[in-house]
Amino acid sequence: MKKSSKFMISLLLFVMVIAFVACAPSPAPGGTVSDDTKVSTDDKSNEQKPAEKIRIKFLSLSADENRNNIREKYIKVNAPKEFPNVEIEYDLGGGGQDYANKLKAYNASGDMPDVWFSEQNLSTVVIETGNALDLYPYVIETGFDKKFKMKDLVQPDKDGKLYCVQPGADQYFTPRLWYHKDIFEEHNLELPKTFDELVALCEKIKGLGLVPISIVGKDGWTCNLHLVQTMIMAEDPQVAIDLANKKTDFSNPVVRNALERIQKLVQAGAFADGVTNIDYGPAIEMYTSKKAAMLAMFSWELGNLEKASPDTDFIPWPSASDKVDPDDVIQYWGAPLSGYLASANSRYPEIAAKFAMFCAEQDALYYNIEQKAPTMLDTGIKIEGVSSLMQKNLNQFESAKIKVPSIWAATFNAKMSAEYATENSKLLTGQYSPDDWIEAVNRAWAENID
Amino acid sequence: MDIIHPYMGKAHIGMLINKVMAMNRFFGNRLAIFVFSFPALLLFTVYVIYPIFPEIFISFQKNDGFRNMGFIGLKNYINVLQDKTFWRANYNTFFIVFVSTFIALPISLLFALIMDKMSEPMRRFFKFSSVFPAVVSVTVIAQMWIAVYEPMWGLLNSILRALGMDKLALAWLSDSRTVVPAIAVAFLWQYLGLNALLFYTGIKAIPKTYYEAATLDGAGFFRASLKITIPLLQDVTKYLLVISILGCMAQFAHVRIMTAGGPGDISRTVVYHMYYVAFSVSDFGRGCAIAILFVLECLLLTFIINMYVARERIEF
Amino acid sequence: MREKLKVMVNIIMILIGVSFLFPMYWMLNISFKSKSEVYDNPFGLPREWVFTNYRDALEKFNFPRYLANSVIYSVGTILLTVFLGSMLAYCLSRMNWKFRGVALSYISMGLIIPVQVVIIPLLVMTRSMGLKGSRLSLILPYSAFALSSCVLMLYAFLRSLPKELEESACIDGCNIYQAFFRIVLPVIKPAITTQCVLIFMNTYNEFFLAFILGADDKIRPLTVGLLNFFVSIGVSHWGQIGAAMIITSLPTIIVYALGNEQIENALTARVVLK
Repeated sequence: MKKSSKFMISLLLFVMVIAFVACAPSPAPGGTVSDDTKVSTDDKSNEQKPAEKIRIKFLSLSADENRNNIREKYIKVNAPKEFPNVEIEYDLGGGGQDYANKLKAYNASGDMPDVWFSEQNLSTVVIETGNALDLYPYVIETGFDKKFKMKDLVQPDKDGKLYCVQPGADQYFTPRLWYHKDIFEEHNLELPKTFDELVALCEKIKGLGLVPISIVGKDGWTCNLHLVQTMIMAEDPQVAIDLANKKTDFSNPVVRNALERIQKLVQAGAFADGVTNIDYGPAIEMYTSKKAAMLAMFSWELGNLEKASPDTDFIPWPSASDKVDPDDVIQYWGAPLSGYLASANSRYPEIAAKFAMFCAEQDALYYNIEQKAPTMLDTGIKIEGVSSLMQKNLNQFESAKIKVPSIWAATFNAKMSAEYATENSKLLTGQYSPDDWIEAVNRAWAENID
Repeated sequence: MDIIHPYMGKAHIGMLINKVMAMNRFFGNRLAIFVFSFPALLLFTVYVIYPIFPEIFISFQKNDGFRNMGFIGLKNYINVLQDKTFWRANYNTFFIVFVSTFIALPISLLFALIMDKMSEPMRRFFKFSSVFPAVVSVTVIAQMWIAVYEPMWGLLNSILRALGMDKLALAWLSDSRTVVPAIAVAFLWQYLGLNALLFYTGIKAIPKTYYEAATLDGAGFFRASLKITIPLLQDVTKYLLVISILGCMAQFAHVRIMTAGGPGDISRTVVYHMYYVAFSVSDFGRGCAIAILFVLECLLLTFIINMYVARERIEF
Repeated sequence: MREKLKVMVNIIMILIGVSFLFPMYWMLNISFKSKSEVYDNPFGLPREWVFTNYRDALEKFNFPRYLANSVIYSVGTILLTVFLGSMLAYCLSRMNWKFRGVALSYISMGLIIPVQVVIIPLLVMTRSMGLKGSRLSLILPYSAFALSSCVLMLYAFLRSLPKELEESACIDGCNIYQAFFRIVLPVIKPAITTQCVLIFMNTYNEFFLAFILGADDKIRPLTVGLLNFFVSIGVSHWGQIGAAMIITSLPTIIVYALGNEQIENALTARVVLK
């Protein structure tokens, strides 16, 4: 009898444990989530010795080498000097989807870290919930705005609020058409100055058995990030500016022409077979291994491209209209809400704001010193030892009179980006009609604008 | 007392009654019944049955996966039903179901019929090699098919070019016309051998006497198969139909790994669309609506199969 | 004429059989090639045998951890499912319970509901139970979904056992718990073994739940870990991909080669019991 009662007790315990776990206080379906781990750290930042040790929490990406270097070698090292009485707790958020989920979970429970780094899409979610701190008063007070070469970066939005500070490295990145000097010399190819010349060139290169232009077709990446806009700007940059300012939509005839140009390229065989499955790495490798004669890519890859293929050179994207001079029109990367933000519910808003600005400066220092890349935030560091290719890139960038921000980075919300990517992916098959594209994208755009 | 067995005396009857009562107590032990059945039923209910209810709730809300942002009635459903992508996903899913039912299963059946006639070593070899894909991880198989379909150096295109059929060497996974059939082939290939094995097991259960009688009547391979084997395989067929159709409806891994629903949303299946809406666009409300519609589709299919296939029970 | 046909059919079947194995051979082939040779010489044997692919793949791909996770999930699920499922099956088949029929139909519902249907609420539930990121978050749903088939199979098996089985135990004064664990379980061992094999195969190769709930690197099983490895090879080095695939499939291949009779019996047992 004893054995069976022991059995019964253990079984009952087992059952009770499962019942407890299953019936644990779970919120109503879809209700707010209470994160267990967060509660404990919360307590930590709440217990503070009055007026002596201030604790703030800083959430950052930890899956990216650049981000890790910035945090470990710059922020952590220089923080004690700038903020002697502040203890900073570093929350490592991983990367990609994990980071997004972590941030969203904090946001839903209303308990944000004091300062964090996020990209445009995630920032908008937090701002909409009202959890982001308006940094504008602090920026003006400390004169932070005077350090920027491009004033737009520290201008308040239409509500007079500024939520994000960033180093302004992104704004120097621009899409280029890279090409192999050797291949062009060997086959006596001419650099195209107009779009039609580009198409003819692609047909010629295809006849040579090479891939004319290597692009990242997976999820329509290259089209998403710049190609559609490049094709629009090749005819009329004003349309791109209007789109960026949400003053027009995609049914504009210039957009249609841009899409048709991309289709023409697809049909001329400008891109590799199965391009919609080619990812970032393989696309670059196709170029560096000389299987492709040209590459459509942002200038952030300049250093790597130069190292892998010393014969690399670039041309600005050809124009499609006589009114547009390719040297004068430039698309620049960068999202106004991609950078460092602070929590509206922080116990120490002034410290949080200052720390956010501090982080932006450290970012800029990293780019200037380690990457020899210029930033819109002037750190006073002079950049030396720049390669001639990089110098050519910078010179052309500075001299361009019309600079248009990237519509993808600056204006799209998550839903719009997803829809846009899907449509571009289909466009690259060459079996998709631009009218369908315009219809689907406009629908998402209508929701995006408001 | 006359109904009791003549050899049983009163003592025997007593013992018998005692035994029956003891067994009844034994098997009727209410606490034991509870202890034996409750844990399993609880686990099952919590994870398999219960989730449908919050799912129905969420499908009527605007929900981004972290917060309930308000009750919006049927808006999610209307949104989903008006979405062209949803119908495309359904078309793709049912295309795969169609290919599975009318091409893959008959091929498996054919294999099984041939297997029945094979010599033992041949049969063992065939069993081993054809079931092999079903045993290997789906990630490996999907990645392998990506390599097979690769436009420049993949297995398929290399074979086609070697045979001089260059024009047929398409970009299988990027061409909107071929991407869904390509995925269907990769998916169904994995289970061809396994299904053949299942059919074969059913065939083995048919008594040989039927066939002997048939050969006496002069029936060849085909007639014997048609008139005897296939009808007697009804139960196995029904089981396989349900399993394979539900499997096709629910398949996710191949689409995700090979094309991620692409190019764009061309090769999405219903389950993939649900995953995309819920996790990539963070619209849990719509995702749940798609899931509920999907459940209804599955139930409908199961119902149809039960109604129209194997209506009569066949006893040997 | 008949003979010629038979020979032809045999040849065709051999070719088909080989074609099922061929892709694995092909990956094996590629795993010994250098990156460029994969492009130039997809078919033939490698001109230069490259052995570093395996080492490189192992460096970037945390195979031991993912393998351990996969095994933990499979074994954990087997233990939980068999333990709970056998008890329920016993109760349904041998005990006097009013709701036997209802419970049986109830459990059978699990066969029609694919796990994909409930993944969204499952994720929400897992988060709110605080289980997200723990291995339990996968083992529990795996077991729950494996219960239906396990209970039904054990139920059918148990029903075929003679009623007298427990009688002698009852006379000796055992209670039902002892009878179950000491007498019945050993008798149905073959069915349990079959179930173990089945659950192992289903759980080890499972993708969907693991992909959504088990994405954390610590708890990732092989199916997901391998995918992330493929995706993270920034430059598609097919040599390494081939090596990783061979490494991942090796345990399965070995198990299959050694025990393919049992596995086939397990896979077909369901059909027989119908």
